[in-house]
Amino acid sequence: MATPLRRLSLSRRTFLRGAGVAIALPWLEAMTPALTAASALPKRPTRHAFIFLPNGVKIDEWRPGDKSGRLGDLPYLLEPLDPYKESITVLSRLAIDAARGYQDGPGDHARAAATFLTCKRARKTGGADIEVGVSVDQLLAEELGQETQLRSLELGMEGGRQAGICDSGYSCAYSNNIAWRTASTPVAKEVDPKEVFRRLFGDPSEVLDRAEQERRRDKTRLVLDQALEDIKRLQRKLGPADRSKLEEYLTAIHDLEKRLANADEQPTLAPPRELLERAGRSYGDRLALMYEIMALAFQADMTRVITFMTGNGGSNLSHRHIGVAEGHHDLSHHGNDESKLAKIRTINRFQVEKFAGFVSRLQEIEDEGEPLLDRCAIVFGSAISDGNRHNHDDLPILVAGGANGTIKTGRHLVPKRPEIPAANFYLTLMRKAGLKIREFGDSNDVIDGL
Amino acid sequence: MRRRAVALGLWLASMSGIAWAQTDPFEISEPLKKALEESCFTCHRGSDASGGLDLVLFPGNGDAEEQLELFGQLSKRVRAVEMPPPDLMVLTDEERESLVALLDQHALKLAEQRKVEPPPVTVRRLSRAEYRNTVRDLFGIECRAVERFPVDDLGYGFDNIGDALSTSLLHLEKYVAAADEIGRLVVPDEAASEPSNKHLEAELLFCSIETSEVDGAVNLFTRGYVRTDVYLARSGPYELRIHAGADQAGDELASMVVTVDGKLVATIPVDASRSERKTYSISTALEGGEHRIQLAFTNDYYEPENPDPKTRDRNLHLDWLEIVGPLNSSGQVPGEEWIFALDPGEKRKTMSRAEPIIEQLLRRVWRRPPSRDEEKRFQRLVLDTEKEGGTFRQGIRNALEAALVSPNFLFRIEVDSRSGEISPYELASRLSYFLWSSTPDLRLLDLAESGELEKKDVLLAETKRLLADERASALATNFAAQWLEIRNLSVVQPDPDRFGGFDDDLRHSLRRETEMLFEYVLRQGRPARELITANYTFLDERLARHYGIAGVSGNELQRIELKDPRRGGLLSQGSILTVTSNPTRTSIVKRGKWVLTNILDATPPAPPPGNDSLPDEEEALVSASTLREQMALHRSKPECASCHVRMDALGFALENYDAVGQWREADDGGEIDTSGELPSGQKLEGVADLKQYLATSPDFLVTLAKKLFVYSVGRDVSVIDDIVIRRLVSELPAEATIQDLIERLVQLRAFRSHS
Repeated sequence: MATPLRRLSLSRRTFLRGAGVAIALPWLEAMTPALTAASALPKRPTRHAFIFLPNGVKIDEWRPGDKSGRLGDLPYLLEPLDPYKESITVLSRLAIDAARGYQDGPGDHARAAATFLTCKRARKTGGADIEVGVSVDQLLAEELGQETQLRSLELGMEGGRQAGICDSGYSCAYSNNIAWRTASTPVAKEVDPKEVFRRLFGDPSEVLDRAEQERRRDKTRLVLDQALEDIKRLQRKLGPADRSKLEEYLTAIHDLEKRLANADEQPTLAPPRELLERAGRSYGDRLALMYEIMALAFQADMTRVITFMTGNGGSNLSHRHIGVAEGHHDLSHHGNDESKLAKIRTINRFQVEKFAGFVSRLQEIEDEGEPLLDRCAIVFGSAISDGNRHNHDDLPILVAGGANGTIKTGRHLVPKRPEIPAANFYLTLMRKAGLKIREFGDSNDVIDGL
Repeated sequence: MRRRAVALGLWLASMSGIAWAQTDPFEISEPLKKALEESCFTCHRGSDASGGLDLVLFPGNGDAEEQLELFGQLSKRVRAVEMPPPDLMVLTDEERESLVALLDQHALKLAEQRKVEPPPVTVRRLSRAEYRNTVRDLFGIECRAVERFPVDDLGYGFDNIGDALSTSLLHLEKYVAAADEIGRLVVPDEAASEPSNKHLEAELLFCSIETSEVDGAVNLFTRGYVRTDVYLARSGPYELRIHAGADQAGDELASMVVTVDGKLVATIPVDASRSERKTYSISTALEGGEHRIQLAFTNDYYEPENPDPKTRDRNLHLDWLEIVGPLNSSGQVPGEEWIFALDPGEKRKTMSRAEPIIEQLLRRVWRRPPSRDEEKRFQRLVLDTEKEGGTFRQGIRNALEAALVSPNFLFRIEVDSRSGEISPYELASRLSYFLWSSTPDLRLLDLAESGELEKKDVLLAETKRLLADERASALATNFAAQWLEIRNLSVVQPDPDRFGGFDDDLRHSLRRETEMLFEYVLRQGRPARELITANYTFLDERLARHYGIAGVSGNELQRIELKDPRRGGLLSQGSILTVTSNPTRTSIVKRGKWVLTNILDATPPAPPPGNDSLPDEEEALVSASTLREQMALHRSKPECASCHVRMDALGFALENYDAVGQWREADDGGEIDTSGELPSGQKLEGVADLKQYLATSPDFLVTLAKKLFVYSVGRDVSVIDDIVIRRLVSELPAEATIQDLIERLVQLRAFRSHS
């Protein structure tokens, strides 16, 4: 398929490869003159990222007032985003009803993670019959992920509990994942930035020439062919639950075959290995590195859809690196205690600062002569508003980037109704990305004026 | 039976909304009806029945499965002394047992009449630990790639529950990488052979000086060297043999310096003479690949004026060099040995040469014999590799890697069968993954092949054999570490300002202490309850210091007899006390809940709907100084009291241990008060009382048996399983061992059936 888009991608990639470790430099301008006028080409699809915050935020310092309109002075928690104010949109009064307990009782943290991008109720189970819904990122990936090596990229900061029960009778699959490929299959995430780097750009200690890369891919295909044959045979002999487990594996094989095929067109990039060398081990260092890699992944067009959990649902991480020793979840039940609120605020502000760093990188990187940020829709927020109350309305959610000119940025949107489904927001995003989709989760409308 | 009061509004968890019909399709027996009337009707009757649970109305719409769940819940709440609420009505032990027996009988009858089967076991992907162990036992290698696998999601507290184990691209990429790593280690490009002996005549080698041969040897008459480049197929220990002699002069012997790739291997003082040369031998480990070996003469000596002509000149005479090795079973890992053991040799055509190799390879890697088709397909893979210019070995390696990426390896496949029973091979895998977290060995596969394994006595004998094997340590490191939740030690973050020195060494020692206690009790055949009552433990110097115990030195954990009653048994172990704490403080509720869930078979139900807080979240509202008052509040609310009375008393009993398990008499809130009272009225004053209470509770063995059940079968315990397991335990003496439980569990129908 030799569309102009593909050809463009190829030449960019070839250039990248030659550039070697210079990937982090603003290298794109150098190419532009050699290309057809950018406007004559179809626009590159919007890159989407969804970033999850556990345990809610100190919402009164997040909300930029209660009126719709241009963003004025930002509240304390959002201040780090001030330089990019014109590129963000804050959405108030979004709610995720599916995260509420109702008859299922407690388990708000598992539900918050499970419903953040699905807006569907999660079946309460410790293991059997896990079910929630397909997440918005995965629907986008189905549409936007066909040409890239990775259909989507799932990242996190915590592997998850290694024993016990995650949250009040909910399987850990719910609290550890926000991306759901099918209603019953979460997409596993990678939590070590160095591993993510290797996965995307190869092993920095092993630079392979093109022939060797191809030889390895060929061997992988050979191996996968046998696995496909094995699955085909097994499917006939298994019960329904087992078949669906093998279906997951089959899907993974198809994903890998596609990655190999797209990689044939896209030589593995020479990795900027110094990135790894300067990486520290603290949460803050790893978080920053993860954001840097996300920016690189978009820049190199390795994927167009990323989900990132800065902590798992109900995360009890200690944030000593910013002087907060207590567990985050433990603290989030602050009972309006001033000292606990102050610490929650510190954690929230820190998260926004690092996020702002990511936005800043996307602003710096040029994509066909424009800031990459303008081609992005980066959703950042939580499915819990106040950690103490566990309420799932009045959610802290914002989106950075203009999504290829389809989002009017620099504003605060406050719907008239006291709450509207976050699903409406996701539905709107998907429509803007060109998906022909009628409804999503508990959506009942699109968001006008986004 | 003693009635204390009558109160409405008591809440019964997870039973709300069940409507009983006027008819009695499930034929509740008269004695059960009578027992329910006496013990339950005070609250659970009529339209305003407590928790919406009206036991007068019999089920209308509910199906048999829902009924079973209901009766399971009733039985559980009664057993947990949560129902009837002790402050309203006190049942004697006999009354309670009789009520439970009636409820269980009814459930069993219901299940039988309505043919309610537990759900089938979902196919299980190998967990990280299982993958690592399997590769270790198949090939004799450590698979480092496993460290990069994503963390397995847990179901019912374990990482080997098929329902919770999903597979995505990330997994597959890691599996492909792991197969590649294993392939390279197990089937290196070069074939193994007998230790090779490369014999190199010195005069044929490069020499740094122009010289001549003297008596068939190179004469290094001045500083200089000979060198050669050799290619070694394999890594391993090698022997370098050098035949040399020297003309001696001066006050030291001629010195020969041997280097490999520029690195000094040996400096040999050559004491043999030119005419009676001898062989000098050096042992050294060499990697496979190309190496430059150099032999140098470094201490030339020349004094032509010396009166004794025999000591005027020192020269080195080199005859030959031999490189012999590798000397450890020709450098093969065990996997390579067995894979190629059946190789009929190069004379055979590829397909027929590959046949016996492939058959055995698939049988061992897939834990069952391959079909003819599968065999042929993998043989063709070898052939195709050759056609594309690869070697036979590379073909075998490709086949190995394909076998490792196959669902037949990655999943514990149990094929649907009409009988509902799993096949003997599948049984072999259930047994080995239960007891070893690893693949069946050849003996198990052979017993499966002959069908012997299905015989009760053989299965029992194999269970004993596997338990006696070293690999059964996996029950401690994989099963117990999950059951007791101490795997979370790797993710907890105690605040270093409060708990300085909580480092990775301590984490490791804490975890090992618990694992070693479990393994000791298992292997020594000690009563299982000694896990709670042990008056010994396992400490190294670091951990002993942590506990304030003197007289332990060294980095190895060792068995230490304890005189101090503050230590001994699981409840006093820092591992468990730490994973049930927050980073900066202890958690009474988490600890109480841990004891209920993991020791007393009484996982507390979720708090009432509408109450938005988790138990531990409620606690988080509370500052340490008012902890007791807040806990008292739990008990004053009837909807909380039914669980919290017990949970809080258990948690308070452990308050003398801080958030990393160190003993303390006081905290920020003053002196620690460990007193509490159980629903039965029994008082607990600290850890000694608690241990006594737990060790004598029959619920401990039941809990352990149920945890073993979930871990081994791979699904939740159904209401019927629950009854079966309780009966199984009731038939055992109080002194029953872990092995007793395991031997009975493997004989359960559930252990050998699909559901």
